[in-house]
Amino acid sequence: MNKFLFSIKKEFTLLKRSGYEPFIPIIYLILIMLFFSIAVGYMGKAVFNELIPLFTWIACLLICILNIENIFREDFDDGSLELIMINFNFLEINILAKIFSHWVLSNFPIVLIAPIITLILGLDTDTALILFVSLLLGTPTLTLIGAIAAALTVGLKNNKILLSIVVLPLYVPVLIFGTSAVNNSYLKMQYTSELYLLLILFLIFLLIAPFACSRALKISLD
Amino acid sequence: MRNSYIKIENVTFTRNDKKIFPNISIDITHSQIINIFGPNGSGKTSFVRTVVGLSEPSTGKIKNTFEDETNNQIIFVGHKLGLKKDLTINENLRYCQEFYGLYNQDKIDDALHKFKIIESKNIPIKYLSQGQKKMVGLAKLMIVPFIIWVIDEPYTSLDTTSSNILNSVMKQHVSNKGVIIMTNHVKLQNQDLNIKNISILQNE
Repeated sequence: MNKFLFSIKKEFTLLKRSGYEPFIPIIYLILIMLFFSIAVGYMGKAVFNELIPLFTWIACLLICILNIENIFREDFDDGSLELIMINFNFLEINILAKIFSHWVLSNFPIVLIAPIITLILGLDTDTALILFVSLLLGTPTLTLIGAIAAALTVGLKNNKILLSIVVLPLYVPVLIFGTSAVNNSYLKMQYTSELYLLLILFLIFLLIAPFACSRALKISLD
Repeated sequence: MRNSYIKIENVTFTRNDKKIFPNISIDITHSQIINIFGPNGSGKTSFVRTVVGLSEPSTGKIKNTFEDETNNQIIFVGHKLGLKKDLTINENLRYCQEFYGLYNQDKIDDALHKFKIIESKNIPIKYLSQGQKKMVGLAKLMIVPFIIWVIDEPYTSLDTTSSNILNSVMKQHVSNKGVIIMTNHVKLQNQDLNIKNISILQNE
């Protein structure tokens, strides 16, 4: 547990030094939602409101794909990853701490900001709340899946395309359950089962990801 | 006390059907400096990466027979030094210690004194020269209590003074029953240090 907390502390210190990086996802999200409201604004209010939560989900998913590559990149480039790999006793805990801090620093801000933006655009409070919950359950799964793919491709020079192709099929279930939860909420239908499914997906990947990542990193560094 | 710390038995390494290095067997005991030498591209780095466990050998075995549980880890300084460029020297070394669950500021100060970089203690790594970075990387060896040091080309980008400092640090480590495995382009001869030279190209 100590190791876990220590790793997180280190990631936060690094981020504090890196300047404006944590604001990039938020700015992306604001830009995407702004362009969306300009482009789709001419449609009727009903259609527009129905599209808002779905579009927010897609925007969050794309932002997750964009920054997931960084999760092991810097450690790989400066050699810290090798030191972590040699100290095999705490490998999985270190990887889990890395994934957690990556999620807190680059996905949690958009989970917080997204419902606020949808409220400004005119979505009702209930749906915004469900959007928040579904993102809170869904984005950690996206990070966990992405971490496995990032670990597999960290040794390659141009890994962005391969990374997106690897994660895409695994991201689809999360997107389906997330969007149908908010859609059902908007249409005043049952949405709890979708949220449970998101939770189950999260727990499954929470169990798999640290071990899959450690194997994948071994292969990448070999 | 057991004599052998690391037993390397008939290790070969093949990559894409190409033999990187041939059969190597070394029995590493305490108070020893092993210098693996060979020309560029002969597989020195692959060899040390195999020793520390980053790569699997194609055939053969590497056994860590060192019994003391607390200090049985290996500290490795490779070409990539594992330093965070945005953190200061002190923070880097501190995080290195905390990574292994230890923190001792005195040891860090001692190491920095030894390498004569104590004045730049609070300067971020990104502003340092290549040689200074290398010295910070090597200072990592001194701040953790591990017996086995594995260093990939320790003398690159170091000047004569720094090389002498490194030699004295290594001498001190060996006198405390430490083990050093390093690579170099050339055979090393040093009267102070008892260096065992092993060529990567053929087995002794």
